[in-house]
Amino acid sequence: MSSKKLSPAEFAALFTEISGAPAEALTAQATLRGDLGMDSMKSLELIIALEERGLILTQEQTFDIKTYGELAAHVTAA
Amino acid sequence: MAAPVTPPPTSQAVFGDLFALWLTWAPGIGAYALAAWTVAALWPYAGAAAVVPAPFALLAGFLALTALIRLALPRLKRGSYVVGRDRMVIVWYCHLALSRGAAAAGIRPLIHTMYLTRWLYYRALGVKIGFGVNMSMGAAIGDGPLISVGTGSTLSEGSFLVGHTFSGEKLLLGTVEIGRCAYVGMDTTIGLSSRLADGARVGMGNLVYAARLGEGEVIEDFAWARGNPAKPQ
Repeated sequence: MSSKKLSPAEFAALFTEISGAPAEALTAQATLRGDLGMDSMKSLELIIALEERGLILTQEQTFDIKTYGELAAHVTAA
Repeated sequence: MAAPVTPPPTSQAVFGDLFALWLTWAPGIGAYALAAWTVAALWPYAGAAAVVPAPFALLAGFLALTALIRLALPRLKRGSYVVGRDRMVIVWYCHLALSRGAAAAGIRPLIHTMYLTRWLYYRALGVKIGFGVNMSMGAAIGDGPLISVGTGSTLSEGSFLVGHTFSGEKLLLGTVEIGRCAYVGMDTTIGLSSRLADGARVGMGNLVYAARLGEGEVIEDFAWARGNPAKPQ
């Protein structure tokens, strides 16, 4: 299993698919729960999707990370 | 406004029962038949002593049938799957139905009394389990092919390792990895996408999922106070 980080575009597509948030809402400052409609189950789905791509994100991190920008910084290549 | 809630079609329940009939009942029926045949075959030679090997025939038959059926099923793969669209949902249900076989046949307590039979049974269900796992009678493992448990680990009474959950119309499947000599306390559930390294301990009364515990890390008893998971101490 490869653990290569995603490109910002790949992550945005994945996030949109799971969260249901429109692509234009994915700004660095957008809050995951308030603005983008993420909840614990969607977080779990995202965690599993990232695992399939060899990227580890824990539930604890999803509680600590507040914005889309912080999350993207964790899982996308700079 | 929330979307209207639509119950699944009755056909779904009918198919569910058909799966249960074949996958839950078949190992038990086959095993009891083998045990009865063993007694009948030996009776002319051994008389009443012919019943002595019956429990062994029952266990051997059940374990062999469970393993054969599981090997014939497609593999479970982690991911998210839409109910009614993705084939993996049916595969998951088949594995679930098979894992209920021991309880349905009334031989789960018999299996759980010995390390050897427990080990063989969970291996038959596809769990990557080491020999010598301490497992209480009331501990349970679901979604076998997604679960691994290392040698010397302890699964206490009422603990549950489970690799699935539902989120709306989606079935989420993830792995649970328990290292060697790890400890899962009473009434604690370790859910999908979790990994406990060697010697990690989760105390009683916790619900942990999508968590990573390093070697020797501890979650205290009843520590699940805010969100998921409780933070390691």
